[in-house]
Amino acid sequence: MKKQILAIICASVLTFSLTACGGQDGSSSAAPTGASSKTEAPSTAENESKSDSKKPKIGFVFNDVSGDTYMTTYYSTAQSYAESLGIELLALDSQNDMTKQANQVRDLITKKVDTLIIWPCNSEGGVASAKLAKEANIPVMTANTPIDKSGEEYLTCHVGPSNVREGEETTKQMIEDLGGKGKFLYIDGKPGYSTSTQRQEGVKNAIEGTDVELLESQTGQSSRDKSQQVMENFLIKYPEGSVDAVMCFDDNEAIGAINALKAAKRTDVKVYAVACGDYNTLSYIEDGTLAGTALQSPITDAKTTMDFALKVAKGEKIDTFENSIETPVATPSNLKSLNVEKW
Amino acid sequence: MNRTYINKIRSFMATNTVVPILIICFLGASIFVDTFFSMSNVLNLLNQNAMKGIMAIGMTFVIINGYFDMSIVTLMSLTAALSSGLQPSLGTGLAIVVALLVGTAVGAINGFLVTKARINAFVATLAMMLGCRGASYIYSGEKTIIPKSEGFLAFGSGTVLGVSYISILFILLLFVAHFVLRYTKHGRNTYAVGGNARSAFNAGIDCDKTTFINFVICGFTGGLGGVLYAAFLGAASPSVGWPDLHMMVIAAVVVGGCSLLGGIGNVWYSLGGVIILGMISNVLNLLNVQAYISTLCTGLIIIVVLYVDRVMHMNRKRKKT
Repeated sequence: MKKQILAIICASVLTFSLTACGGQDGSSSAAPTGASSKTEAPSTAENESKSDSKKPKIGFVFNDVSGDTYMTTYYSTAQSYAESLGIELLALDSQNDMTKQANQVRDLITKKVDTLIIWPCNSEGGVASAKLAKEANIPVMTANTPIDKSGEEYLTCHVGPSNVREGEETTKQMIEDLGGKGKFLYIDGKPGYSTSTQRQEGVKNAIEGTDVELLESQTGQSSRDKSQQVMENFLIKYPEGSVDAVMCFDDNEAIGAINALKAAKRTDVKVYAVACGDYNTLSYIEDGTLAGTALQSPITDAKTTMDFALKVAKGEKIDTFENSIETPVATPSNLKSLNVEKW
Repeated sequence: MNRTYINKIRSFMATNTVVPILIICFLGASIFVDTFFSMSNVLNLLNQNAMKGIMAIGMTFVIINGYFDMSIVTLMSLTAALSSGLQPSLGTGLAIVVALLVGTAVGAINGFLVTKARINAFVATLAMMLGCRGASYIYSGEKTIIPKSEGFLAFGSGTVLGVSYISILFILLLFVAHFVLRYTKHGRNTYAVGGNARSAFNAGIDCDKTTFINFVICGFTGGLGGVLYAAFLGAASPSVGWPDLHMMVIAAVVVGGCSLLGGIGNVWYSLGGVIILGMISNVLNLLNVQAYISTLCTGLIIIVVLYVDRVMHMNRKRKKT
């Protein structure tokens, strides 16, 4: 009998430990009672919240929070920024597992969130989840990574970096640096990967009608080593004076190309990366080895997404479907003036 | 009269510890977590876990037999990819059949490795897990495959009165598995081999055959789980379920009260275990527990549940079901 009592005590510890977890959370972001939410309402940044004393409840399923620095920073920024906006953010981590993500979406639907944001584990798998939420009359938006075209009918909007625009803007910077005339090489990302094709599309858009010529494009498989090899081969094929710049799919590939140039002691080729999501790469811009890249900051990404989510939760109309975040092109000369927040 | 009734309930609870644990967890969650106790969430709980439950059924057979199967997680991703990717060329029905056959074949290889090659079940199925992982990446070319058949997708997302078709299939399979374990020769042999292989052998039971069949059953349910996941998710990616789904399935069966040493358990225990683990993740999600803490909590809670189970077992005589 004593043992059974002990067992019951254990069980109640279990349930209380659960509520303790929730309690912690409640004190930081959620306001469980109506009274406290009223007292917190005036402190929110938005003045429009007079009419609705209830905090908007936004559900967010993340792809993989611990995946890399970008995602980790994004996650923590989203949480702190949501708090400052007076949003009750329910942020769940799918740990890159589609099955978990599908279940979490279902849990958030039962929780009746005002808006659901999905950062899909993979584009195709996100479609079913978006459909389900839409059928439950919850507005859905995607963040950072878009879902497959077939699922767009279920979405209110998408917020994230625009790969095409990044390609265009970085290439424009390169054209400007080259004085409107020159020859360049392109090191592509993984073939077939949507980000690769979109960035390449942007690059091609930008050089159309200019005197800048794309000599050759090869894949660097989005990897530093592979890109370095590609660049080494390029340097043999194109001797000094025959090429002015190399554009890489991302900063990782660009660093590979920079390594190859250093090893060959060549300084005639400028290196560009279409986009960069890693803060450490900024040191390459500082010392001038990387001539330009579109800075894709997770902080901007997260904040823009939360702004849009708040609008959607309030029932405001979103005019455009694709909403790209600010990705300013950083060069050695303007890096200081951009005041990049560290991540 | 009344007293005997209470005693009966008490002895039932002491034998089937999963029932009081389930009740405690359910009541606790209902009281402390708002939005937990609603019809839609309870159905959500069932529908979310039906695929895992189906795989847990197969796992129950192997565990009662005294082994466990690590390979189902990647076997599942392989059959998910096959059932989706073969649809355009073979037709939906045939694609599913091929996927199920692959599942069964993998189960048979596991069974062969364990019974004939005498390789330790942990290592053999672990190797199989890696093999299937490789195969599913090779087959899908690292890409997500979308099943093209409308009917297939409709089955995955369809519901009757809020209960998904997959859940209905799960419940049917529970009854079938219960029948097999309880009323067939194979079922009785499974308990005997799991309880004490030597005396089962001495009693004239073909231990190898029993074990082999159980691995085949487990492989089949793993294959079926993959097909159902593809329909449920509307997509099959080679990383689906990775890295811990097989561990969660084994944990569910054990939390339910089946002994890892074999010989004890039934599918209803596994159902309870699946629901308990599903409830934990559901509650942690509803409470919006921070991502890393949530994983930690799951581990702690499983330990607490197993401890409660152990304490409640102490009064009970070790008895075969």
